[in-house]
Amino acid sequence: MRKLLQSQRQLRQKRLAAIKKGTVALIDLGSSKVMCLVVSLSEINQINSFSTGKSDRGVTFRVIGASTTKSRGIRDGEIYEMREAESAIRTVIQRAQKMAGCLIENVFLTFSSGTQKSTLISSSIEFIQREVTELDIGHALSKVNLVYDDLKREIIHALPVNFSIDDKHGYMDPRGISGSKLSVDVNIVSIQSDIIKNMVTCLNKCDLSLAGLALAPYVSGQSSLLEDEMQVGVVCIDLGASSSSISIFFRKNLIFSESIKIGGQHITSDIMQAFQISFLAAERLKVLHGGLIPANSDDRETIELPENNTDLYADRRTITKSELLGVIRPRVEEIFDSLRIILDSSDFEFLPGQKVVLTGGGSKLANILDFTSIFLGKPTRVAVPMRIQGLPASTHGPEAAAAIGLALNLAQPQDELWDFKAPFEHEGDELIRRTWRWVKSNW
Amino acid sequence: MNLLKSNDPAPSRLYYKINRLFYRLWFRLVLIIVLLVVSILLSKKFLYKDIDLNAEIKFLSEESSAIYKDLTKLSITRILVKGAQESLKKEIITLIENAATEGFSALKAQALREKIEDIRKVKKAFVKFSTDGLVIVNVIERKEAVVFFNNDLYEVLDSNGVILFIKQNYEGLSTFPLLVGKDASKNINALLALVNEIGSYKSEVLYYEWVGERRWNIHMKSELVFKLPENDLNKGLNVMRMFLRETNKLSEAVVSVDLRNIDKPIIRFRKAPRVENIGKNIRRLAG
Repeated sequence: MRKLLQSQRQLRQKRLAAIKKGTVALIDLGSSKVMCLVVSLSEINQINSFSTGKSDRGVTFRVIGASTTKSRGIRDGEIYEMREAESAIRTVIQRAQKMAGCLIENVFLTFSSGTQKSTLISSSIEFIQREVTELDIGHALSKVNLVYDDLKREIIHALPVNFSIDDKHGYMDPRGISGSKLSVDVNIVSIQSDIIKNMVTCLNKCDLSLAGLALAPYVSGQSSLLEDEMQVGVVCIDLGASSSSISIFFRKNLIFSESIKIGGQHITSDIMQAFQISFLAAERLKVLHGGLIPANSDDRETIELPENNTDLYADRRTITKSELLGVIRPRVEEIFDSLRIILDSSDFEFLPGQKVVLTGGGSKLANILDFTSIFLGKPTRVAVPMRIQGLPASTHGPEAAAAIGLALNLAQPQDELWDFKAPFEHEGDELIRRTWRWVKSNW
Repeated sequence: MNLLKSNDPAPSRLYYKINRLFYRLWFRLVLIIVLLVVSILLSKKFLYKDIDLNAEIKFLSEESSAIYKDLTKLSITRILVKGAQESLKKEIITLIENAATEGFSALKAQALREKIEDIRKVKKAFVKFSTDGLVIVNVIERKEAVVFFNNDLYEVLDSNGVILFIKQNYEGLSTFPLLVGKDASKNINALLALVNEIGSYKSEVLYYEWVGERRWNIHMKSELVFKLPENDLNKGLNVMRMFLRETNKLSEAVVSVDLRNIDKPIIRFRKAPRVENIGKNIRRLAG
């Protein structure tokens, strides 16, 4: 626990130092594309946190550089080829740097991993009837049992999602409320530690320093969901290239997150195999002619397949649209079937809000809105991420939701477990620190 | 995803690092310095390969010192002094010649002008050098105006009261009005105006006395003294001129004419000799 707090706080310090420098880069390391936004930051007075030791100042930002390139060496959100991944990062960084006209040193990273796991852990403390203080919150959070079955996992997010005082639930800020028992529910999101290690190595090879980390399903939700939706409960489905993830928000907190290793690239791969065409041609076919809801005209509508060979006398092959749909739909059904299983296991049906929001590049597929609402039986919408200052119009789409969400998260980060002081941290040096504070205030 | 190009060129590691370094100011400065040094060395190697830099620097320093040497020995061929009398001309020429031997800095027009203006008889001087070694000096000379008798010495002053020279006797100074009295030298202009007003009678004046730092007494050669008023000087002078014109020879009997109160002039006569003494004198003359 102590080690986790120390490492995460070091990352927080790096984040603050990067914000002070004024310019940071946000990288969305996806399986199909790598996106980089360079944001210029300036601090404003805004109280958005109640934890001790955290800056009371918010941050405003403006995008001053943006670039996107095809992803290389990354599969299922993991680095498979270090050199290729490094060259992809170098490409986006150099372009964004050129556009922004400044040197990028600190990087905030977001990615989606098939290995992510979300666990809701509760802990409670009891005390004599009195008002709850920040120390009590820290005490309750320090009691969270962070022992895993798998030691090779790394915690990315530990979000306190619900506070309860004497069996009364739903407190967002329990400070000042009287009670004798404080319980806290923490959503722990973890991934395999090797993935992060590889990513840090890759960034170091590009002369970059990691200043912050966030998972794509979490930040995509932050950029795509409306406040009301997040308050009453909503499920955000991020349809990525190699993985699809679910994140459930309730009372503006991420309460559940899970992902599966099937995404848009699998659909493309299916098309490629079914019609024996190149991957790029299959991708083009999916984007231009793909769909999910069959129509009567589909049998008559023919699509000419692009050929790889240069034989002019060979007959050009054509397929009907219903054939294409016949390839796409089963895979999409498979994705949504898997997602429904996860959704059912997450007790989403008990939340007051039952809305489904689609985001990510896969949500651009034609008729996916109708398909999802029929398939999941819930009201659905395709989200376009929040508009942020300075973002080029070409990069403003569902596929940029993670990068934009990362920017929003950077500006107003949510309190996490390591933002509160644990009681064991007060033991040793607290006396010296108190004395120093007293001397400083009375000097 | 169709926006993404499959053949997106990735920068090489070296190019990427250099590109990042270019955003650092220190790197740019170092690079500029290195480029300058390299370009100097290359130009030395290929363009000016016969040039020995050390020899060049030595040559340049020697050249510059030779030029300076010539300048310090600037020769003066002729000195032309305008607007001065012979004695002053000689003095100025001697001064310039002495200055030429002192060094280059002494031959600056400004320095030379100041030196010339230090001569008492020089009111203003203009010095001009020409390239062929000619020095032209235009001088405005101070003119002798009055002689001031002070501490048994005769000081010759100009109209501004500047002492031009001092003599121990009055010889050769009779053409200038003689002035006596405490602080009289401060009123040269008033005296000159007075002398001008006296007109043709100024030849009969022995000296002018500044009395009590406020008014004039005019001592005539006939031992007659005119005590001029303090305020109505012109009126007093008119009376004086009239007196001299009208009395002519009779004035010998008069010792002084007191015009201090111009409305009531006082004329003091010489004391008449006693009758007995006159008889004695006549007898002696008669033998």
